[in-house]
Amino acid sequence: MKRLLILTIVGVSLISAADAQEEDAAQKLTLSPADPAEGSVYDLDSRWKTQEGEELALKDLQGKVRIVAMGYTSCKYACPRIIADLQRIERELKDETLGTDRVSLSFISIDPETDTPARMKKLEKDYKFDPKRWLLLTGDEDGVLELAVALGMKYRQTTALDFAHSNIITVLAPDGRIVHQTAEIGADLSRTLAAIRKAASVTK
Amino acid sequence: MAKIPSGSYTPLYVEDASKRSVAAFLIDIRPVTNSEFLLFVRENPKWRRSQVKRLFADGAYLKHWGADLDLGPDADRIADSPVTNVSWFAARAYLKSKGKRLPTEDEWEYVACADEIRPDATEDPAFTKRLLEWYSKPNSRLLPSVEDATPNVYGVCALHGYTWEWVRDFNNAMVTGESRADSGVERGLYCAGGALGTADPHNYAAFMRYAFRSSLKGNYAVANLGFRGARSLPPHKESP
Repeated sequence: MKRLLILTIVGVSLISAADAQEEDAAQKLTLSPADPAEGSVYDLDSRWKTQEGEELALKDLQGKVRIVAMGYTSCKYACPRIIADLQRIERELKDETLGTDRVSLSFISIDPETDTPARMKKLEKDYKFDPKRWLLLTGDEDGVLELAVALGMKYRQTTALDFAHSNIITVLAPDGRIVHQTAEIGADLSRTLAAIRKAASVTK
Repeated sequence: MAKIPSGSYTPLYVEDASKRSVAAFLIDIRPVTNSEFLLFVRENPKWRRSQVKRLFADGAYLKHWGADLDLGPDADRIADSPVTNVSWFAARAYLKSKGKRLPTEDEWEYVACADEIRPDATEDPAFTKRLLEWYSKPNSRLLPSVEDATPNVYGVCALHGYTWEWVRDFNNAMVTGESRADSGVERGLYCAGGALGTADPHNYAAFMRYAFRSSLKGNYAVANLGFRGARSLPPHKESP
């Protein structure tokens, strides 16, 4: 893992070396992915389809706190663990007054070629997602790329079937602002839950 | 735009240690300039410095300009220089308005293998030495005009020696400072060991580009990072 660290450090020092007069350029690279940027993910104008095959624009997602992760249905490695985390969040919130009208969970595909709405529907069945609470989205290549970049997500198709990708769970406020992100699978979710509760209570 | 014939190249990172093929495509012969980008923001107010959303361009966006629609005191000198301090989102919006797109990393790296006389100069130590000399030199305060750039064998100018450039899939490198953040890394799909284990300076130049890209986010505006457009060609144009 050390060599990966080195690569990142080289990246940072390249910017600072090439840009010695502008120290802030290097400075901002130290920001963690959890830093909320101003602006709404819903300003992206991509089109998506739900697991029911219904078409929607991102701005149609306004109005609820959304807990979002990106992955792909044929993923055997990390995605089931991300989904497990989303389900842990769901279980934690179930006992509270956070109804389906205020909070929604989403799994968004990075593999639009394979992940048709039917595949997403199958995922819903396999995991017994409550369709009132879970919105599974699949889009097109450009829309996926833009949303992934906006969420600070890295991914790369490695074989015809597989992608390598970051594992990020994002909490979006009802207006589409990123209010929290976590990149630790299977970790303590208390900060994520706190962020969700806070975002949901603001919308009351 | 210049037409780049199909071919293959050896990237720094390969999953199966093979070459990557690149389909024929068109690419701008020079990067987008400050004056060109000024016209774009004039027509598209939401991409002006004061109006852009931070999610799509951070606080450094176009900061070398004087104001929203003013290139500043050095306007005459930077008008034909590559525009920098532009985010990936802004670059995409500009190119979309021109019916173009950002080149992919493969496309950019493939065309950047060329020098003035050869499509692939990467085995030539003199070529890689030139790149490394530029990489190690601090930026000049004002970037030179792209009009003076020497074209490579495809007629494409200023890929090296002016700015770094955005690519469409800059976010494809599974590299972070934290192993837990990207477990794809742990599957061994991404390994910088090959680059670090070799003394080949070509790989080192590429290594620096990949490292730079991996440190970017889509809303970053950086003083030495610009962009140019590309366009796909309809498939199977090659004659039998």
